Amino acid sequence: MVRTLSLALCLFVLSALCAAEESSTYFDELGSRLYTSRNYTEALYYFNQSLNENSSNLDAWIHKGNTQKALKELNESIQSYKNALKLDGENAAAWSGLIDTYIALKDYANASASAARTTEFDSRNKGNWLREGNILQMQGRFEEAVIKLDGALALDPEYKDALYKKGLSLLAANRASLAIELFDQVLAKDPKYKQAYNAKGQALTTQGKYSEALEAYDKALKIDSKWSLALINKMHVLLHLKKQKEAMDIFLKI
Amino acid sequence: MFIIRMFNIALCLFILCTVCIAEETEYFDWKGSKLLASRNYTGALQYFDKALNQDPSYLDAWVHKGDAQRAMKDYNASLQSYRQALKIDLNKTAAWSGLTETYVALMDYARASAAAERVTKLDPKNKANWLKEGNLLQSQGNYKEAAAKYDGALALDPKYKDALYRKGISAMALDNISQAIGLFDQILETDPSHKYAYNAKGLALEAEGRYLEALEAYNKSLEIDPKWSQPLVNKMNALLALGKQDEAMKNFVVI
Repeated sequence: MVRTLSLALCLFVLSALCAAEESSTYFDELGSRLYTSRNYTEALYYFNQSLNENSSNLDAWIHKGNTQKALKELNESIQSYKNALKLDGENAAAWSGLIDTYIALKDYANASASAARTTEFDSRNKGNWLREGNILQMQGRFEEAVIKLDGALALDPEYKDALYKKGLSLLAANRASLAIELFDQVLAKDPKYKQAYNAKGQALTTQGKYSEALEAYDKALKIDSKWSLALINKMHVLLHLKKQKEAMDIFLKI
Repeated sequence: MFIIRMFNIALCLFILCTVCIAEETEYFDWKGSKLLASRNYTGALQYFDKALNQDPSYLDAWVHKGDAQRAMKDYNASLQSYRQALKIDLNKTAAWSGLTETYVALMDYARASAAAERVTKLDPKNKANWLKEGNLLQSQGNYKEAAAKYDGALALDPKYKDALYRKGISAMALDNISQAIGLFDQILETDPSHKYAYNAKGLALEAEGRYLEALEAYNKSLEIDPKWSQPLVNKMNALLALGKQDEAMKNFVVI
């Protein structure tokens, strides 16, 4: 009799747990759908419902963090990602969310530290190395960024984004010729990489090679004729070349 | 006697009817204008058409119809409506203004300029008309002619900031950098929060190779609006010219 009662109790607890888990997943999915359609306030409501049913629902914590980030509730968003990381300390999505939130808060020190952690436990992912490098560049730490970008290039020597970013670091270090070599490497692999043409234009400007810089900007503008960064840079080269009228023609269009 | 009385009654009825119809036309145009103001362009257009069905010579309805069609980006139809208005009254400023705006939307700056010139001729005491003409000429790269128009605006109001600013740009394009700087300074004397004048002054100083002063001008522009990307990029270029690559790239990666 006691044995039967115990068995029934166990079954009841188990089924209650299963039901809670299932409804938690269901609410999380509902929230995700609303998030996709940018209805963030309602999405948040469902993620909270999901977490009320099951506070160990990792995905719901991450999705809640993403939604709070979209609602610009940045501190709350950080807390949600941290809750997710308590459940799984190596969850890439939670770390990514956390890093992006720190960047949005311009808290580059914490963003860097978080990015370094992701590289630590997933060092075979070139994207992690690149992200670390990018955040260091945002802080003006161009030399340290090169080490990280080299880490990415060790995994994939043809990694365009890492080559481009390393070129920017070299330009900051007044090594324009080496920077141009890297930009040219990017362009050899991808002639549509407008950022590399633009950066090459800047490197050439620092060398006083204005006509060649103009050519580089024109190539960037051939790819994207409305790109204001390349347009403004071109205007400056025209000023260097004493072509004021052409410069002002651009100025009025920006 | 009876016939005369009946004739008088009929005449009165006819006059009354005509007055009523005229009032109704005015009402339709008024109603359309209300809808136009609330951006219900399709509804507005229906009322303007009703007004014009009743009285095809109702000038304002043609102009307003043109405005509604322009708002709906039906530019060719809009041009047609303004032209109908001008057939009725060649001196209707609003119709010429509408034509100007439509040609601008169609990027037909030559015709826009010609229409704007008519507006200025009809209303030469309006400084904004001179400015508009000048701006259209600048869009076509006619900086010298544009400067003459800005002078027209400045003759009416010597402190007209928009005209001073645009004249400064013309002066720069015509390689008269010191005049340009003088004009930008005039604006900044009356309005120290004119971020555009600081930005343009920076460019003028750069054209003279005065990079440090240019940097200062860009910084002042950024003090007013720290998120404005144009002076940020300009500042980066001034830093590159000063050989401050590290600082320049710090700006570059956050743009």
